[in-house]
Amino acid sequence: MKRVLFGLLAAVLLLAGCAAPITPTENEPMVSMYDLRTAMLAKDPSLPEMTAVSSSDENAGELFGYLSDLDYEKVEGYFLAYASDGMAYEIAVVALKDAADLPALEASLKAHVQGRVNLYKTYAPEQVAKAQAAEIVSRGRYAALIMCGDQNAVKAAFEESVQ
Amino acid sequence: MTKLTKITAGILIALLVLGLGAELALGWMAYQRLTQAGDTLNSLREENVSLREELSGLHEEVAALIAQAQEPEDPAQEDGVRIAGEYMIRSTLPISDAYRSGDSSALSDKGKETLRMAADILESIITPEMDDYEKEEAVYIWMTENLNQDEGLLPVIPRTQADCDNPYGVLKYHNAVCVGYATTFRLFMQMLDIPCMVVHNSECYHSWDLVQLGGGWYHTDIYSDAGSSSFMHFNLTDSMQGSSQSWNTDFFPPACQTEYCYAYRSSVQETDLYRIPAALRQAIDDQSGLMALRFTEMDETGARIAEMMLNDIQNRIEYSALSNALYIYWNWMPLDQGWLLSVNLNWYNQGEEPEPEELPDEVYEKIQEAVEDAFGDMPEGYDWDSEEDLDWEEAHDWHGGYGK
Repeated sequence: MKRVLFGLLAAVLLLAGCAAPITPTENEPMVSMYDLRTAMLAKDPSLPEMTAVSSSDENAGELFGYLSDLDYEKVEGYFLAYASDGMAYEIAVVALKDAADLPALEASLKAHVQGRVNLYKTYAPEQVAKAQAAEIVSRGRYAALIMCGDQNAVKAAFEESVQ
Repeated sequence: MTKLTKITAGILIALLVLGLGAELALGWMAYQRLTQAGDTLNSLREENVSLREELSGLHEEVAALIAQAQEPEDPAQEDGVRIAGEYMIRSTLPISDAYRSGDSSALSDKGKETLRMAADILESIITPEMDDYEKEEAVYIWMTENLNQDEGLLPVIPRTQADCDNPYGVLKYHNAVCVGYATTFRLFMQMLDIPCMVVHNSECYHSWDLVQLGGGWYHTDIYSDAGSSSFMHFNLTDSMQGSSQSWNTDFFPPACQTEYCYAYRSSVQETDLYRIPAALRQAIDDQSGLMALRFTEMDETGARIAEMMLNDIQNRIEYSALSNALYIYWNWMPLDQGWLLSVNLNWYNQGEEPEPEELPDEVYEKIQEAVEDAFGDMPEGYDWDSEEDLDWEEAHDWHGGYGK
């Protein structure tokens, strides 16, 4: 009888274990990259003319390679806005399919910023300080690269949008 | 109540008590098991969190390894290297060989046109009495004065302009990225029988030249001096070029000699360390591209003093009106006797339009009169510096008349 009871209890416990949030939960729907870009870029009036590419572009995977060397298969969506004249203004957000890939994404964004700093050292030294001040912030499965004039305002817009 | 009934009731009560007891015992055991299971579950969860943290650390390590593995390779070769993922360094030998042999029959139409353009330029700037150094200098001056930097390499996603990375496009459109400058300079040098190589940096985002004069090699980076002819990147040694770039020193020849090093040739012998600020101030006032001083004696304390002065000057520039126009960096090079201090003065806003001259007062009066005549019925602009609040009704009164 006890065995039966314990068997039942064990089954109940196992079922309870399955329901516990050990395995990853389903992702919330991704925020619109277009809306996010519009909201973030609007926060810094000092931005020059910006060119933007995103996961909506036909060659999105190829273009993503200019921002990060993370496998594009791990990306659900992204946008990258950068100064058309090449100066140190960049705002980008990447949404991952799995938040577990965030450290790798952050590392690749840091490497991207360092590459830009090195490039400016050679071609536009006056941009070096601004590029070095770039910030990488993340929230949930989103990471943002912010290199601009009013970084705090842009960061706040990002954090507000991906709550 | 019969005896049987009493016995039955007794048994039932006993059974009930036993049942209740058993239920309580089972309940207690179940509670204990549940508590244990809960503890196990909690410890499993904790273990899961720590495993996740460990995994996240591993992810970082793996990401770093992947990033390291995916860094652009630094090929031990001169040609066939792609810079910034866009611009290819290609051999220029067929054209220079055709120039030297006088036979251009093997060249394509594009090659022939490149040869004609390059030959015309050499004819206009090179004279027979020039030595190799003077020829190199003449080519450097022509290139820094006549070619424009293509900024297409700077944006995050580079813009490719037609042929800006090869002598054909560079000489035809006078627009070049670093690869265009480097390959065109090499073409000129090879046409003049001066050994020259195109060097790329380890990260493959920049290229320049190594030119051989009198048996020694020197770095020349014309792209970085474009528009200024400052000679800041003209005939540098490895240690000078190494202050801003790194490259495959196993493949490319060493550049250690000073004979044709521009900084060395234009340096001034100095004995007093404390003269550095005055000399640098003079160079800034003259808008020079380079200030170079030779010190026969320099010990560790002397080097510290010099560095402190240079850092102080750099800070002052950073917080002055020059901060948007000048960036300085310096380099110490060991000499056979003593040290060479070269300070590069990078002027990066020289191409900007000068401030327009102030207009005469009568012109301002005329402007005001003309505007008043046509728009006198509308209020003048609000003085945003004024302390007074803007009367929006009054400000918009004109609107009542407009469109009526």
